[in-house]
Amino acid sequence: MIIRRFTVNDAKTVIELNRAALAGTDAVPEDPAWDLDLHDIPSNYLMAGDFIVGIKASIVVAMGGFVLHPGSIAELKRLRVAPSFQRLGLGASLLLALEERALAAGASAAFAETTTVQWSAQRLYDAAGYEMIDRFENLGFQVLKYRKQLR
Amino acid sequence: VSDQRPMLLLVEDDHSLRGILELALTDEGFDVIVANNGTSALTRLDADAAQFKGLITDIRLGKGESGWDVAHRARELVSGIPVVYMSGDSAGEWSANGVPESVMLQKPFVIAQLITAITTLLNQASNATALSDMPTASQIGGNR
Repeated sequence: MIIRRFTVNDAKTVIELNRAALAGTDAVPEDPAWDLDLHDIPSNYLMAGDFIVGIKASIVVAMGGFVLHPGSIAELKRLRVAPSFQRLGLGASLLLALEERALAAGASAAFAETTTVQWSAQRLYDAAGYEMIDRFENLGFQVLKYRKQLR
Repeated sequence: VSDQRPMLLLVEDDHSLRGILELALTDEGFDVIVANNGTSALTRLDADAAQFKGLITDIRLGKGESGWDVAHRARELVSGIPVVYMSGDSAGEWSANGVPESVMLQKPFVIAQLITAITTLLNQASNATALSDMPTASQIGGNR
């Protein structure tokens, strides 16, 4: 898998990948604005973080981004792997790439949120050394918050 | 209503991508015949074009015919056959070289975009066929 930074040519592709990756889960909110951040990745991610895509033979198979918050904390968001390419370790590779880019951007820690129905994301964060630090309700979902010290 | 899986002709010279797409399309309920270059694709079409319900083709196929050529030949043989092009650097030539009512997917893309594109075109083709099969007003004694 080749990992590279998002370009404007990927704009439609990441929205489709986000929907495809979540289609097999019960984690799609009813709020139509739930994925608006992906409609303007340059403003929402590249100005204060990064957004990357994983490509395998001209197919975008994975994606994810982070936003660097005050206090040098990187919030990891929209980490997705296409359904046909899950369980191949691509999510772990993308997570590692995001952590490396967050470190390079000055982050000292990273956090991510997922839901109780997204088992693969929970396994991914557990395996990568993240610690679950909070649990709360949002948009009708039980949200789990994970954190990892990067340096 | 036919329960047959629609047969697609997939033309792609990249071995890895061809394998991924064939698997994905099969998983989505299509039967797929693959060709790894333009010449092979034309041979398949000339042998029995009517078996194909749709064509998915890369543009640059190495030596020989391009994806543009393959799609034009497919349309000559099967009027209105759905065509999806895939390209990294030839997408800008689509308006000049693509067949009418086709779709261009710019590489890289996600599988879901390809499935949506070919399914949409197949549905449109199916609806058009159904409409053309309906009796005209004169055939049913209309226009009086």
